[in-house]
Amino acid sequence: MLLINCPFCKERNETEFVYGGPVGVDRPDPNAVADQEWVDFLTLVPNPTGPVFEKWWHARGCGEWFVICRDTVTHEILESPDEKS
Amino acid sequence: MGYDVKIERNLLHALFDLKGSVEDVSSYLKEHIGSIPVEPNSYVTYGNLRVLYLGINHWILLAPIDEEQKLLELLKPEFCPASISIVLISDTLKFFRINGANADDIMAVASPLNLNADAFTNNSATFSEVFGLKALIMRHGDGYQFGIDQSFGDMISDYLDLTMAR
Ligand SMILES: [Zn+2]
Repeated sequence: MLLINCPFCKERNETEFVYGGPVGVDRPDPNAVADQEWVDFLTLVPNPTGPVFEKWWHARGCGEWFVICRDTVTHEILESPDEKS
Repeated sequence: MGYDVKIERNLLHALFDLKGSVEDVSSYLKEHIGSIPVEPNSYVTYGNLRVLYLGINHWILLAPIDEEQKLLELLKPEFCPASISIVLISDTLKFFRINGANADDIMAVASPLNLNADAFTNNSATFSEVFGLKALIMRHGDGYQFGIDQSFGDMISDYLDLTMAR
């Protein structure tokens, strides 16, 4: 069970949250990049063994979207919105 | 052995959903009701009316259902500043009140929220879960009251019966 640190509500049970996927690279201008780079943007999803930045939605809470850094091996949350600023 | 609790079911309250920046909502409410709460997931009380701070730029005003018309006339949602929104949502949530010696035990089954007195104080109010559904939870007397989407009222009522029968 994860306890996730929401920027508004602080630590809450993971069941209150919806996983929003890993944070990808910024969307490139499809007209300005090579086809391969555009295809990579559309199809490659960050999937490291270790720390990954990912989006979470406090759906059954305050409704806020935020980014945490979670280690996919240990499930340890290495960085929460609180600690960033 | 049963649980020592009294449950009131499917109650309605007057509810107004308020959205906007802290500055805009604060100045409009100050003019009509009073100051808004500062602590996230807390509320302030004005007579039998509560202003709940439930999310970034999100408040709910809660009052007895028979005050709904009076509040509509006071808040004038259709004439409020364009920078904020005030929406009457009284019929979207049904409330349950659980009081008595075992209210904590029932809530411990129903919700993952940390309801210890130091974490969830007398003026706390928050969205969390009750039996897996999004629920607006606050203390009430020696127990709790929570509101869930009105269409699940009868289902939650059954879940509470099942919990108490264990
Ligand atoms: Zn939250």
